[in-house]
Amino acid sequence: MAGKLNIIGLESTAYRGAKTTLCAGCGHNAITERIIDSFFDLGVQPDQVIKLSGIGCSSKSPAYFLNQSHGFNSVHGRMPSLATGAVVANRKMIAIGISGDGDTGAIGIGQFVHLMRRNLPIVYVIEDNGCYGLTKGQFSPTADLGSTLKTGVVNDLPPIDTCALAIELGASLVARSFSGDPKQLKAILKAAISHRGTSMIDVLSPCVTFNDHEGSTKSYAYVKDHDEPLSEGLLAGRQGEGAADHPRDARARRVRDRHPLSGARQAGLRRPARHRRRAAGIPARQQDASGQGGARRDHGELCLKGKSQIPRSKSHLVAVQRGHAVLLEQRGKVRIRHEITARRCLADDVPVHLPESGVLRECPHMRTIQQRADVADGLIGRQRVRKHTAMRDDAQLADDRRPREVLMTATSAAAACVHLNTDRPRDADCRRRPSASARRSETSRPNDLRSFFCRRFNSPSTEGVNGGARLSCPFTS
Amino acid sequence: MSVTAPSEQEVGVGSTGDRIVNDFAIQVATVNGSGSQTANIILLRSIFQMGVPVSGKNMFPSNIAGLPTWYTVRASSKGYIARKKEVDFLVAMNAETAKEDVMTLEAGAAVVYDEPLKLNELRSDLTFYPVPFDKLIAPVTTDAKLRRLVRNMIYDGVLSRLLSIDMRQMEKALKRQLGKKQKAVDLNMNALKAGFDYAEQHLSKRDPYVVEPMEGKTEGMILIEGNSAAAIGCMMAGVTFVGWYPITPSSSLCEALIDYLKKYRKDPETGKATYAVIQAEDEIAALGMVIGAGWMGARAMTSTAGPGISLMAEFTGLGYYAEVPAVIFDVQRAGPSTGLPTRTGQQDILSTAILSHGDTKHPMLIPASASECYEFAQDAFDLAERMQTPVFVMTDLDLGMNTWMSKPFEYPTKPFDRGKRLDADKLKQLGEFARYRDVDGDGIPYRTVPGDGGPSFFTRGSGHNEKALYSERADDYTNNLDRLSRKFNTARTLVPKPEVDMAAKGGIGYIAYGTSHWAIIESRDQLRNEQKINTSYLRLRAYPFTTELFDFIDAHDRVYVVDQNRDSQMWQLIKLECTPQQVAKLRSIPHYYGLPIDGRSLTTELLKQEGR
Repeated sequence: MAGKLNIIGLESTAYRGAKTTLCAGCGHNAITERIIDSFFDLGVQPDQVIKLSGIGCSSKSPAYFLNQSHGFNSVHGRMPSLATGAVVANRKMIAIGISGDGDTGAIGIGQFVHLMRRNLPIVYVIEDNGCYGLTKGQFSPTADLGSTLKTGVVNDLPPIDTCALAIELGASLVARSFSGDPKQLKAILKAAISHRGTSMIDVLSPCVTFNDHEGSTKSYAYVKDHDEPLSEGLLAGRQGEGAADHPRDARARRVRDRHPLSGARQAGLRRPARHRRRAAGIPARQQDASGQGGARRDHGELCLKGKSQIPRSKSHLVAVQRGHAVLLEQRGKVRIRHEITARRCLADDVPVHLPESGVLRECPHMRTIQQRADVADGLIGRQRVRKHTAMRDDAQLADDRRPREVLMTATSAAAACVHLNTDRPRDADCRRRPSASARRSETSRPNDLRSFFCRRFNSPSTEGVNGGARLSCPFTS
Repeated sequence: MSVTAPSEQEVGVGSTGDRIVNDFAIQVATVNGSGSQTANIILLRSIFQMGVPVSGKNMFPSNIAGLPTWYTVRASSKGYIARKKEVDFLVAMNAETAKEDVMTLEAGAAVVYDEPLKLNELRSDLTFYPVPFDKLIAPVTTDAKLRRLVRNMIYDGVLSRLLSIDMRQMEKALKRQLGKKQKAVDLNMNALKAGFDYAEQHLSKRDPYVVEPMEGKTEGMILIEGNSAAAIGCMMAGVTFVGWYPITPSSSLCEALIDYLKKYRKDPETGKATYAVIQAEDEIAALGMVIGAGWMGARAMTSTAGPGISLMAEFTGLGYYAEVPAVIFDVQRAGPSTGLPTRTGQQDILSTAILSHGDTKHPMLIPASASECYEFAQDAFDLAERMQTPVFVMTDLDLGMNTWMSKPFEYPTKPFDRGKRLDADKLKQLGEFARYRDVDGDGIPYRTVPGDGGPSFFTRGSGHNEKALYSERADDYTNNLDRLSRKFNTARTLVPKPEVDMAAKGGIGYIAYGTSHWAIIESRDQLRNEQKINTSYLRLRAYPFTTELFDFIDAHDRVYVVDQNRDSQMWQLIKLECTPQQVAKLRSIPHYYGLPIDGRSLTTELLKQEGR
């Protein structure tokens, strides 16, 4: 890497931080490296970044990258509020927050939830190792049911799925990755940094000291063994269809064409070999770690270019840019369409008077729901997109047994996404809790699939390419 | 009881007594949610418009509808605006509390009451005026809901007649209150007239209380709540970020601020806001956001009350140690835990002064009036940025939510103090940037903010050295803590100085702060006029304390510290910094039953401790 310059003429050393003090082999260090790579690749000015964290091993890591950026290692579980105030106060900056599974899932769950709701432009990374490393290995809320501590203590509580929560609550880019998959992680990080809205990335990041033993579901071995990417297509902005007549689109398209992610997609992100095999009719490798004979895995697929690209797999994920996400899923004769409408980004509506410069920043406004629905309509062709207007109640859902399209609520859509990430399919009514005995017998609900689910994908700005991502909105002059 | 009770016409000492002009308290007892607030404000305003100094105090429940509430309007020709302990004129509209309300009156008081309550049977030493409210409201409107709401206007009409409050002023106040809603104005006017006419025809004046027009006391004055005044102050201080969580009695501060910002802080060209307000998920997040915004260079504030202060402890400690400016309004209420959410107190003094764990201390500004709410709001932002630390503005429910007579606010003349921000010249001069190095000897280091082009640093709540690097070294830690102490001492030169009146050097001194001020004024007059005791007075306006405080204690034999809390918190805080000789002089007068403090109680307690 030495000597190689990025698009703004900086070496990668300009993006490095202090020497890590985490354990050798800690997954967090790998994530730190990917963060450095991502900012380097995107050509972001380091002093245009703020890095924030809470408390824990994960939260130490902002010190290990981007030395020239302002950083704030705050208090346990409270990074979201700090980040909220910071990004709203100066919206020129790119905010990356590093949290852990305890910092997010336990003490900070309240703030995490509300950060997701607000959908502010913040990259929120959870370095997820299923335990409290800094206090020597206690279970965290993402520890899987049935996984064990080094001492043999079994976890008897189900985990919190941070991705499902984030999707349900309105984060507009949600992904799960693995510190041991540099290629995917970097692509996701770059997408997140370029995204305007909250990007929530849960990165499985094994703790080599306290949670890398047999019986742990967050060990390197377990994660590698149970790793099944849902999809490796990255959404980078469609070329024109649907909203082509919009006056802003010409500019947005120009921007997109130069968008680093377009490059990232072309460079390496293709569907994995086993998906290609499956598409060609070659049977996939049988995989059933939990011994559930006949249990079928669902596979999601990101669709990039409209209806012709919608694969005929059993279920699939369609992500639509600009605030609208549609998930199609085939369950037996029932075809279910999950539809989620992104909320507006809070920061977009609250331009802030910057004290130093006195410059009032313009900000982009989301398109109306109708416009977004139109975009979605263009994308999936004849299958009409119905706007999500009312919450369907449980009884109605339960009665819907005929083979027909079911428009589910956002709540159940999120649950369905969780379902995509689990080994065992749940009942069609995603919200029904299994019986107590069923729960007892469910010794493990491995959380082992990476999912990449993108809900909203605004076009990045021109500065996104050469001066740091998403510094201004392409929709406003 | 009714056997011995004299008939209504025979009751009343007032009928024989002298007239009491512009010096009495009217208490209206109603049920909350019944729309009495409009009637009460109109009563207050019309007396004020006649030139008589007034104060209005609302004693309301933590409830939306159905519980008893009392509103007291005090008229005082001498300009006393503290609460008056005794009620002179009661309007008993609430059947539930009427009996107790009447039984607690002092002899000679007058009572307007709803006729069916038959209160005249309870006592013989009061003047009773029965008014058949339901009968009077019937012709005004047929709508049952409206009847319930405008029913209260009838007592305004009755009082207008009985107390000689000018009906034209009532009408003016009504129009001001209801604005352009002509229908509502007409409806209320009819109710007002119905009350007035009834009193004119059926009630003969038998009490001594009269309102007469005055001059020279209220000209040019305004009526305003402390929270609104603070909100205007924040706006004038250039606040650009507000993170808040609703809590009584502070909600109206941020709500008023939001209204003002919407009106005055939109970009005239684009029509877009030049500020950001976020209603947070709790007080922890509210202060977190403020610290985040302050770290980013914005002028940021939040407002809360005791329970919120407890939650903000964690971030306050971070703000102190990481040295991030923030402005926090604590509109204090009564009680530990939830306590009495709608009652007043000064009960967060001690806990806020040293809020959070470890060695921490925080500057507090303590306004006593609406105009000080306005001024201190501006001072707080300057101080927070100068000191790079969270600054608390300690008001209370009485000041924040009640209506106060105030001088109009002055337009700020001095520029903002943005504190020690590192610029290119300063960096050149210093040679090197070290975030926490005391280069000027005042304990205040230079800072940069993200995006200002200056050198970056890593802010942390964990141990750090001068260069903001992680450190657990003993010398780094103590050097830093000692510098923070130096910085706090610098604050002594920056905070508002106390107001001192050395009228009785060598004798008795009062020390008070916040809303106790108004009761002290009255108590000092009572002591001088009734007991020939001259007292000195020092009004604290900030923490940390300044030399004036200790000079004041030295100059007097006995010094009474007035607190609106059980544990005499300011007294304790002062004692921490006193010499043993000074401590020996300090006495305490605590007041803590949730109602605004009054001058008479102070006088009584001081005389008791003086052994008189």
